[in-house]
Amino acid sequence: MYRAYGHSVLRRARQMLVSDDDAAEVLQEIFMGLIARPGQFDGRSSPSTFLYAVTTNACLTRIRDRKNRGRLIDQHVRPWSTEMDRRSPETATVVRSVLAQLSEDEARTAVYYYLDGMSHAEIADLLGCSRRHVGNLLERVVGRLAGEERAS
Amino acid sequence: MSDHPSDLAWDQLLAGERDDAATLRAHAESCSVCGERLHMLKAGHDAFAARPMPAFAARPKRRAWLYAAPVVVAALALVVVGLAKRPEQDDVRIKGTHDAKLQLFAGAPGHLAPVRSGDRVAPGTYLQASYSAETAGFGAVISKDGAGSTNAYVPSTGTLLVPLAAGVEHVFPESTELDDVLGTEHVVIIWCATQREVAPFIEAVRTGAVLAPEGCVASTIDLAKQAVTP
Repeated sequence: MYRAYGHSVLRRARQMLVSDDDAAEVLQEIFMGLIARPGQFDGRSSPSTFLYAVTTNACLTRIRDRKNRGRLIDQHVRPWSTEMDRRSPETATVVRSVLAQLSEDEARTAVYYYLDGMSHAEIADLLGCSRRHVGNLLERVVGRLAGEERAS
Repeated sequence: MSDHPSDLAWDQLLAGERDDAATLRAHAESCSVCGERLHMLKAGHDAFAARPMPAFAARPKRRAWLYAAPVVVAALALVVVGLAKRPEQDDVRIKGTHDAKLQLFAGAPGHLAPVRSGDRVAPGTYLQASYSAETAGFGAVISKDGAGSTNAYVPSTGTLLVPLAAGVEHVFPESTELDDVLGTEHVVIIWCATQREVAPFIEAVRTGAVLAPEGCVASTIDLAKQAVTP
């Protein structure tokens, strides 16, 4: 499982955390956790889907750490615009800057939509909610991103 | 909503989890954006799968120098000694239809000199890469140290290669201060004609795989990082 799925875990962790060392730690923690508690994965979703959720949760927990938050705020952040390409590096930087301030579901939605390029249906499947709720969450995320622009 | 499948879809495809695999692959062949994305993800996946299995025992060591902000030095503010007289390159030129000359300099800020494989450097030395290219491109500087830890010096943040304007002997946008891990500092400077994700290059340097994407050139410099004897 490590060889088959380790790259997606490491790649997404780097995307959210930026630091190579932090991403390597998340990779190790996730697979050590699976070795210690294999029952975590109950097979109801695909392994990829399961690991996407686990990786996102692990990274968001780290992002909420005060030390990481300080580094992210120090990064230069371009003002938010609805015309920004949601898969662009600039968008990723803006989104990463507010993840620590979003609720759990808002943060997961932002990661899946802007960093992974997922559809509302895919996000709904991962969060276990309706597509309408995903739309509502995204509206709140965009509102928060736009609020960052006004504040700056 | 984007017409392009998500990274989750591509990861599921690579893992053999998709019932619509044929449809996805056909889309990747007809869509240049998705074809490029799938190619990069697969390259990273293959490089990772080729790595030796870790012991899953001790926590990976954290390198304190990674948390120091990288030294971002404006090109004009950095006095690079010896640009007018360039020594022979240690290039390992790989296939590609575009060309760029790549070089590495080392030393103290304001007193950098060109280096080649076999040269000695000390902890605290600054490394600065430069390039000459007739067309604009994208680049990275990746290093694997004596402990085997592989990181991108440039870009210090982000997941994509840094944009590089066309020109002669331009410097990469960041220089890097070497930490105190001794041994061979295996530095790879990369220039590509098109934008790419940096992760596959990091994986290739980490595993020692051949860097061979079309439209890219790479220069490898192995420096001997040694402690300064008093």
